[in-house]
Amino acid sequence: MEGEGLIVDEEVMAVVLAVLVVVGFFAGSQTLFAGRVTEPFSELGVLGPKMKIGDYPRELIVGEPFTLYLYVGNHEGKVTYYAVLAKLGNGTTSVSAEEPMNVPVFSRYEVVLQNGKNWTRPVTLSIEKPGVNYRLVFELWVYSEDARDFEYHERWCQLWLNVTKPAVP
Amino acid sequence: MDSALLLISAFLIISSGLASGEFALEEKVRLELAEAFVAVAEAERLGGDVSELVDELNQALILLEKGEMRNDEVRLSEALSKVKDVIARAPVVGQGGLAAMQARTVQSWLVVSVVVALGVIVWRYESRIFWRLWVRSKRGWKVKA
Repeated sequence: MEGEGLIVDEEVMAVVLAVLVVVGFFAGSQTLFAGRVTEPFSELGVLGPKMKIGDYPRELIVGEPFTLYLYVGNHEGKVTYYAVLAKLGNGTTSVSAEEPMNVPVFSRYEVVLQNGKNWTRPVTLSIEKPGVNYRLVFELWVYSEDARDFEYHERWCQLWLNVTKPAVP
Repeated sequence: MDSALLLISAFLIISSGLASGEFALEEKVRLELAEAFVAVAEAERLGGDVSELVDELNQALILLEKGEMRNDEVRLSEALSKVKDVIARAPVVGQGGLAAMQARTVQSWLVVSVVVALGVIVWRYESRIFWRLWVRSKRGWKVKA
């Protein structure tokens, strides 16, 4: 009878200890890894005038203002200082994740975002010169604490635009 | 003729001086903004809650953008004062975060210690405590023979 009781006690003890070990492991891991981001990344998006993906302008008249919305999301795991640079190129000017477009900056927008936050803002632009296949590019740059300057963050979006002269009455 | 030339020269000197002053202010705001951001990032690394500082930096950025667009020195000065305020407050927020982080670490170790102590107690005294409690709970029972 005493032997049976002892066996049950050991089983109960083992279960209780196992539960304690699991709880301890989770509590410890939560404390150690809280707030850590394993794959840091940032988002850049350009939304149309209705704040949706679509309805982007394609045909414009010289000087005609058009509104877009810029979207930036921070998942870098830390506070980040972003700059979105708008540049106007054409079919021959190149832009890639490695190299930003090598043309003057058309317009610049800056924001500081905490991890997990995002930012959407309207931008109203106009193009003062007629042309076909203009490439309006938005590049994402981030401030580097080491370089003490903004660095290209390998994210970019583009819109193709045709800009015509206003019709003469 | 001479007086006209003199007037034009004076106008050019004054306007260029004003423009360079404005440019210098913009540049100063930008430089201080970068410094403020570095201070905020450091405060965050120390565990501080930088939400308010980030809000103030973004307000300064809006003021800078409007100031640049309208050549408005008042807005630029306001932006500069906000940025300087962030630079002054960031170390305090960082120190607060550091203290809170240390308190959290102590708390975590306390929790771990309690769990380990409970484990040892259960390991060592489980059968004795369990059966004592069992007997106490069945104290009122009567056994029929």
